[in-house]
Amino acid sequence: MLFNSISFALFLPIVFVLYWFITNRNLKAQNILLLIASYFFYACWDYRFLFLLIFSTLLDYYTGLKIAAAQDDKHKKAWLWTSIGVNLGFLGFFKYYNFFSVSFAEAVAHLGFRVDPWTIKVILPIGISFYTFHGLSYVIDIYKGRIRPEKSFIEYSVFVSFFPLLVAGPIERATHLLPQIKKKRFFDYAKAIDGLRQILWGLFKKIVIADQCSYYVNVVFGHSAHFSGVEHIIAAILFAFQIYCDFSGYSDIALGVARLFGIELLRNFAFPYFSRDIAEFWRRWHISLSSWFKDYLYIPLGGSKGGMWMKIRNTFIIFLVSGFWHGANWTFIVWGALNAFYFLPLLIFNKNRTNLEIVAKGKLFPTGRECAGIVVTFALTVLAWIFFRAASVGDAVTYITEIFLNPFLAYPTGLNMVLVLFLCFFITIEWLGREYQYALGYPNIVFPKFVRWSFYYALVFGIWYFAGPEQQFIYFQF
Amino acid sequence: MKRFLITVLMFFSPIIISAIVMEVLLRRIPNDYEYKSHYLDKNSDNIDVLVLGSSHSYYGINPAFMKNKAFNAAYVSQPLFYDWQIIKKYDKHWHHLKVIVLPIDYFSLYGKLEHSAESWRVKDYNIYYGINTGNSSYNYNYNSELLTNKLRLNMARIKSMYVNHETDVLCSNLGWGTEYTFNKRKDLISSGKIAAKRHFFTDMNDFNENVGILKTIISYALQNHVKVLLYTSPAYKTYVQSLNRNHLNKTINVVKMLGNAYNNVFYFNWLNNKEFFATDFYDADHFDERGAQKFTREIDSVVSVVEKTDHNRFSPRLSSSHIPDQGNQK
Repeated sequence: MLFNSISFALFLPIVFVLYWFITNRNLKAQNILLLIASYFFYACWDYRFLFLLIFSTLLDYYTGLKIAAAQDDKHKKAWLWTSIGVNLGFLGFFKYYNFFSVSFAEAVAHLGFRVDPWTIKVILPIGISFYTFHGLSYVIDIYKGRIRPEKSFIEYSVFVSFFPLLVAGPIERATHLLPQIKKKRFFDYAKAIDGLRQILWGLFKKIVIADQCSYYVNVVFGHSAHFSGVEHIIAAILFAFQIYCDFSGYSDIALGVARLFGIELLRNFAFPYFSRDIAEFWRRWHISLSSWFKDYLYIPLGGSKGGMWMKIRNTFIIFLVSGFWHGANWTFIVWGALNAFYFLPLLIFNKNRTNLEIVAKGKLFPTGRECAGIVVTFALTVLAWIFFRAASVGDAVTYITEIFLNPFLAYPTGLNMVLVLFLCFFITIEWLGREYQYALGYPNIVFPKFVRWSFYYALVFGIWYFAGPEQQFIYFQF
Repeated sequence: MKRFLITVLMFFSPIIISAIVMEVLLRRIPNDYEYKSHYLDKNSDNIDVLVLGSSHSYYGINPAFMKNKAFNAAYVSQPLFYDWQIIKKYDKHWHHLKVIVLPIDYFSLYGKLEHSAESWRVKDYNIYYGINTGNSSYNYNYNSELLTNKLRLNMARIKSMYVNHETDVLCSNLGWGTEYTFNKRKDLISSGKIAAKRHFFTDMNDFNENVGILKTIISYALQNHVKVLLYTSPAYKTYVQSLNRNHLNKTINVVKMLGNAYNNVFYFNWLNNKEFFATDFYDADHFDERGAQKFTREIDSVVSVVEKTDHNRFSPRLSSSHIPDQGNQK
């Protein structure tokens, strides 16, 4: 069940009404309802993998209790590594098995031996990368003594499976979400309206910007030899907007839906394309994943406490693992490595924490220097996105070389000018709303109702105008 | 909460009302599906020759040039499954039916409407023919005009009907598609290559199911003493040369096998027929109105023989003259 589907438009009000009108007097009943709704939501994709989700939930719930009850560190460690091993084992099998098998065969072939890769037809269970990370953070936090294990299986299961974040995040932390699940929720009119507004903005990003960009991007990336250098660049820029609007659109809808149920999820995006350097970009892009890797990988590796070489090593590890997390393809690893290289000068010259506040805070326009920073950072990310989008590293290299080898100037035929107008409108709104949680999240600015509603109707019209066959969210494949 | 619900209702009411009004307006626009359904409701008792199939027969066979009382119930991208559903729907009414004419082309046994880019057409069978299938009713899109097309197109259709008073019915009174005229002819070279590519399905899962449906149609016809004329449509060489030989041969072999297995089946392969020229085609795999007239006369002469012929005594001269050498097919 996709967020951008009629099924979800029917599912959401039903769960909402049951939640606030039928089960509102009993917290346990509300949580059971959320769990049933979440399992139903997940089963709509493939009910067979529901058992995997339940197994993973049971495993982490049980190992969490065992870690807390263990008398000595040896037993604690044993339970921790059982959970990590099984969780990563499932993730490795479903997501990376074929990649390793084929890569091994290719590597052996270079040594002169012939081994047929033993591939099997594995369907990637949707959301496995996300719920596995939920579970891992939970058991690691218990092991580290940051949280106590959750006694209620229902409440723990809601933490892992809460339907807005189940298939593509944000990757939640037990310390943040579990207390909200355990606490009685009260309906808040302002928050619920804000939730609806965020859902609307998320749908606009997904359907109007991401899906429309995808048509041109798919054509150019699919037949790049036939397109000019300019068209290559336009398609790469449009892909940058496609992936941003696709994923941040999903996150906006997830956060908005959760808010309707009185639950606040972690913020996942903070206007990353307005970043002045790559370090700022990574503090603003897929925040829940970046901070997960920082807390559970970078810091345990020593973080930035050691010398420069250790910092560089850890930074590369984080970016490579982050790339590999996205999928079993060398393209993602190269994408991660490229970002690590971008990060390196900032790290070496200790400039990686220069831009912590949003650009041009309290002002309408940025300075020339800020503008240049934004443009350079955006250009670097666009270059890296080419690897992310391409089917193989070879295709990405070909794509980049074609920018210079193909005739450079040509009118971009097939580019929808209405989309360009919408893109300009979108960037303007994002810029104006950059100091808030999301572009329309301006609680302190009050426009007359007529103006607000006209604007919302314009967004609805845009969504309706462009709505076509439901398109998956890109991050579902991860 | 009450305030929230009132606000939400107030906000969404105009949107929901607009959607309902548009759905009603769209459904009231006369179209080919509705026309054909109404025609069959009234006339299926009297039809002698029923033409089914895809755009190849929709544009290729004009019943006005047939001696028998014929009706063309084919339509663009109409798969065997819906051919069978149409036959089944009027089960009790085929009192006069003698021959079912059904094209089995390069793509006919591959793919499924629900899995194709034309899946939006499924709703037309649901809404206008009243054909509800287990698969199609599962998807709410298949029950709505509004949800299967973009807003721009829906608005254009509403404007066309209610402002410009133009019709969406694009077939003749006997169901033949009138749109493909010689003055709108397309380039035969590019259209051949594009169509061959579009008609190539890589998913083989539906092949057996489609063969099963074809057998069901034939068995039904056999029980009701109806002949089935299967044919592979003529096409221009740019289309034929671009076809995948294995794909094509697999289809032709199955149809030939059915022709041998069932007494009421007659198969004609016109794919490479040299009697049709570039001037007969609208594009590389469809006739224009003059080509349709020529082809209909050919079909009619075959139907005249078929309806009188017992399979076992079928003229080998007529049969072999229309079956080209397999070696010429790509």
